[in-house]
Amino acid sequence: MGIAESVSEGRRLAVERPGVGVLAVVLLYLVVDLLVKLSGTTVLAYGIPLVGGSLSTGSLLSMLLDGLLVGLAVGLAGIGLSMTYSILDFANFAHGDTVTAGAFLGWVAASLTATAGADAALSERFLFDAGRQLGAASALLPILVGLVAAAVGTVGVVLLIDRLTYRPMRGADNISLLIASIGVALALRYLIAFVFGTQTSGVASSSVRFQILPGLAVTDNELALLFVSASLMVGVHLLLQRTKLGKAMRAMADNEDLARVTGIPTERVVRFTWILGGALAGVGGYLLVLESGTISFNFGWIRLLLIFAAVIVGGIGSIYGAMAGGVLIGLVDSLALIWLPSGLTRAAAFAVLIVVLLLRPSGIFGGVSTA
Amino acid sequence: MSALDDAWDRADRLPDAVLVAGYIVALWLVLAAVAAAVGGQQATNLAAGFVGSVTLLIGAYALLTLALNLQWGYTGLFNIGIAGFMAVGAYTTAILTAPVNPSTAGGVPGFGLPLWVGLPGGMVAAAVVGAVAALPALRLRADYLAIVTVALSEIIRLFVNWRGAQEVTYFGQTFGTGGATGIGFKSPRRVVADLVTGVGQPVVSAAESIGVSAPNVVNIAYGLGLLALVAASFWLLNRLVESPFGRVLKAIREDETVTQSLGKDTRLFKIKAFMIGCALMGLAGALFRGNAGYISPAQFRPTVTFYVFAALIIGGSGSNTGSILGAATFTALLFYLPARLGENLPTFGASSPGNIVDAVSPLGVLNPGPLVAYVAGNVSTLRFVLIGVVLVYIIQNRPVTPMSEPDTAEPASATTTDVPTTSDAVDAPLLEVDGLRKEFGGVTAVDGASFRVAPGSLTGLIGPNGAGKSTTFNCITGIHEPTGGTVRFDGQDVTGLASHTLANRGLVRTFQIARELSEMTVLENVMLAPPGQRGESAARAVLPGLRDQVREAEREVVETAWETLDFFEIAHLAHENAGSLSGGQRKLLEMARVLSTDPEMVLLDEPLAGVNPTLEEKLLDRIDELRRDGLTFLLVEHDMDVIMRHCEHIIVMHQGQVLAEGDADTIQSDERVLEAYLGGDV
Repeated sequence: MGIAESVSEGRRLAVERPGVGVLAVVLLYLVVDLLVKLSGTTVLAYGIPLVGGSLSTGSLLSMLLDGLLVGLAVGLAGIGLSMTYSILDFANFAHGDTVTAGAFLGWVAASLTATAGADAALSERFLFDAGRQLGAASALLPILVGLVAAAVGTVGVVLLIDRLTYRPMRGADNISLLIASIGVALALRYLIAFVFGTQTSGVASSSVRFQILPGLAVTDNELALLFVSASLMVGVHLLLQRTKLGKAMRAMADNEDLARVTGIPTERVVRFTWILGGALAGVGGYLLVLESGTISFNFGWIRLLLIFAAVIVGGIGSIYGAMAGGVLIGLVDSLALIWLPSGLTRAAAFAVLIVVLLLRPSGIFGGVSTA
Repeated sequence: MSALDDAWDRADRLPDAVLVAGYIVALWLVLAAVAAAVGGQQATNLAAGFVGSVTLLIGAYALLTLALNLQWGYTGLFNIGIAGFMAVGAYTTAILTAPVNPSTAGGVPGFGLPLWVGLPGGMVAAAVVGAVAALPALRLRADYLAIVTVALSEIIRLFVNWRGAQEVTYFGQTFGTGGATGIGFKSPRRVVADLVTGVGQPVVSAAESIGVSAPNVVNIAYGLGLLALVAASFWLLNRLVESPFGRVLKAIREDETVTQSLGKDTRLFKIKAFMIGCALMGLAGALFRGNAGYISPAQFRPTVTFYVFAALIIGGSGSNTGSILGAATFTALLFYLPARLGENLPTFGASSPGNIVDAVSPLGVLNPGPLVAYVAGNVSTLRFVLIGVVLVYIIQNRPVTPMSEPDTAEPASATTTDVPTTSDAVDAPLLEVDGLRKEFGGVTAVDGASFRVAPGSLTGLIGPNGAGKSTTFNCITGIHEPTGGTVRFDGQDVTGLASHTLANRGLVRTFQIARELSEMTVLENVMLAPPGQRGESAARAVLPGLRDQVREAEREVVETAWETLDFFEIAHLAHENAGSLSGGQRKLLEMARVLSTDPEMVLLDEPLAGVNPTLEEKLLDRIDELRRDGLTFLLVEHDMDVIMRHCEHIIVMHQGQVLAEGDADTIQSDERVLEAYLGGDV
């Protein structure tokens, strides 16, 4: 494409979709500003700083790493939300609390494993008030047991919820299902609060720190998150592309009626959607706690909107979109700090969510549904 | 059960206001009974405390459910950003009324205005933010709108929480949100307290003589004040939804496409309803969260939004009375009462263990005491589990009725031929279609169709299934935007105009499958149609001085509606719900409705399908009669006999193009038409 064509294409875009045009200008400004900031200079116009400031490469890299880590866990949790959104066709507001449930199940299992054989009261082993904090390098086995428990336990939870709540109303419109999920969210969140209390507990802290560059370090827990989420994403990809079930799921996300008449056992696909989505949500929650170190009964609920943002930015129904959207939202959440005061970075992530819904509801990674 | 059913039946017959008042009094009595059971010496004062708190909650939630019901129940706008709009209202009120020189250290200065300025200011601000949010989001799917609003509410909360908004100075005026610590302002409760201790001193003395403390009297007074506000809102909203404005809202709820095709700019109505709802939410935010003259960001988390939803769903969305009953049930029985019971539940001597393990493990030695005590100690947590379960139970047994969504494209047949066809010239045509194209993805449904319709004519549009007739109709009437070509009506280019704009210029349509508004009466269906009704303005619908004009206009609308119903001989069905009509009667109703828009030209999409011969004659007679009055008709019909007998000009479409046109004889002798109908190649 020649320059003239690009220019005329750009002009056409600016006229037909002014929102997109404005967005492009804003993004361009941010990129230029970032580069100028990295070079350490400031460009002034009439005494007002136009672009620039100061930002070290090290702090940019560590922001990128932070964003990537949170984004991967959010993306992992988002896969389940994206799948239920496209296959069962409703926005599941209980997904955040599913994430919490997975984290609690996983960390209880990790805590029990870590204290196996120790002379401690059950309440001390089972609950998180003892101040025990695990790291991936120093307590690898408990962390792994917790990971598996988070996946398996959450599957149990979501299957039970589906049986009790959503199955009796299969085929209901998406707003009814959405409201039911609000009920599930409340019940699940406060059941967790009933059992574990409403305090925030520290459960994980890193035991090893690797200095990669000056100003950029990564901990064992962060590496564990990186490794686990990356391998799970590859696993999900293989599952959807290579197995018959994966194809059936993709078909159903595309058109449920058509899938049913071609003989796809929809109820089985629905169950598998919950299993896969639940397991990934549980692991996502478990990893988020591994990264942040603390756990509380409503941390998944608080992050739900962030997960929604990931799913919507990536395109509802697209599993790769959820992963990429997660990373993108994670990066926005952490990189926004370059331009915005710390109190408003989360607001920036939500603003991205709104902008995407308004300008491109099919997500920025194209309108391709499901994988 | 029969006794209960009986009681319900009787309750059903009560006027709504009596029912609501009776229910709230019953709730008070329940709370007083609980207080009497646990209060001992202090029972009276405890009861007064309970009643005061629960009245405040009922009043606040009722305001919120009424507002949400207007948005969701009446217009289908699924707003889960309630907390955000409450915050806008409360913070605006706070900033306007905070003292210019705060007496407390660290207090944020404001504008020092009185509350009667601050509260309306908050409502206006909430309404404006609501309009800004709704304007771009209206075209979104309901669940996307939900996510946009909840994200917006979080952005608002994060903004007021932000340190940078804590205190700013512009134009010499210092103000701010107070950041995470919040902001103190003129307490609405203080106003009530001054009244009570001033004018109401005798009441206070009387209350104190029976053991009720003065603060509790203030509590109750404030709660009753909120209830009075609820009553006023209820009255106002009922007026609004029963006005012509409300009639349009109801129509939108049922079928937005039809409402648009009758010339109503549905977006405008939706935004207005949304803004009114947001204003009420803003007011509730100030009076509920800010009742003591202090607010902070933590009070506006999305959780409160979901409590309001729970309350509305319990009461049943779509009804103002139900909204208030739902708010009362939710706050009194699910939210407030369990917490009070939990505080006072007998624990049989066991003290509450500190955690679940110590509560459950004694079960091993068959000692349920600790668990009971633990449960009792955590009732305020468990009530939310209960609320969740109730919500799921209700929605499983009474799913919400899905709202109408504007029509989306449905693809018709494809075609590959590209021979342009033009029609014979007609003198000064009323409708000119030139080279009309419509593609759906890769499918071309209409492929360069051109024809003209003479004023005062009855023109027939025929063609085999999939010829593109309905898509042509949809492109002409603004339901689909054409891919190419032009449509001219009355000499003006109207290509791609919205259907309500076209309807207002005199070009209207009926639908292939009759789309009556089934939950509205036949009369209401017809009364909806006349253009530019005075009462369609929300302000005119409720304001005392202007309502007289509305009533007068409404009398005319009713009169004309009866005449129209008479003309189509369905006046005897006027008060039936349109959904109960037979197929043929629905077609007649649709004709009556579309004619009430005072059109110049009507596009009829298979008006005779499913109509029995007697009704068919009646319909055709009416059309002939209307033509004599100067109306123009374009008719899509499968009944060849009718077309050939009644239409003076016939257009044949095939594969998205005009194949032939002329009078009945010309068409009947045209080889190509025969072939098209018999499926041969052209």
